[in-house]
Amino acid sequence: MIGLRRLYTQLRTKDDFLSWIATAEFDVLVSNGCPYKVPAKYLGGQRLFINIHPSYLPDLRGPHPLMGSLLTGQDSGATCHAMDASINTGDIIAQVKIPHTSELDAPFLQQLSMMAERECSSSRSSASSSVSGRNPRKKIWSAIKNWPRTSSSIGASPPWAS
Amino acid sequence: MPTPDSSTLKFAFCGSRFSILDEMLKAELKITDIAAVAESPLKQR
Repeated sequence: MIGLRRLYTQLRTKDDFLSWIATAEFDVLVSNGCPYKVPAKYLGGQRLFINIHPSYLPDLRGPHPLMGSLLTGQDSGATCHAMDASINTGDIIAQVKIPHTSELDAPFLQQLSMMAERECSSSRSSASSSVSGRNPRKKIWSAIKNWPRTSSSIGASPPWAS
Repeated sequence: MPTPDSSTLKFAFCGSRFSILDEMLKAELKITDIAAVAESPLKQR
């Protein structure tokens, strides 16, 4: 019971998050759906901070990228990237694109986005894509089991058409 | 920078979309910390 309590933490406020990040034990942090920004003092060291963002970066950084895609007609998707001191600007590890079409509405795009995020983090494809080739910390990423991922496009083979 | 041994890397997850955590578990990563965000108070970024 004590072990489980140590493993799992519920964050309700930014202060909760700051306390957690100060004491959590990890080499690699994977963030997905976390509204808080990791303080810069933790970045740039030996530990890796990875974020999975529901857009095809560098487009639609920040909050509400899905609404941004619908409002502006930009392609959507998911990007797995290293964190840096800014928001959604770190080195890109893997991306999945969802081309914008007039058929997309908010619920449909949200479902596709969740699929893209999952694809972004779970692809078993080769890591020899151009995306991973741009990564200056490639040697570190390639050492992580099943990481880095490759780049792909959901729109190239729509899941709803198969 | 030395390349870490993948079998000894400790992973943590933070967020609210747990399908990614599920993928990390499937990949048999060594997960040592999980922080679940209850909501998205964007004003606190």
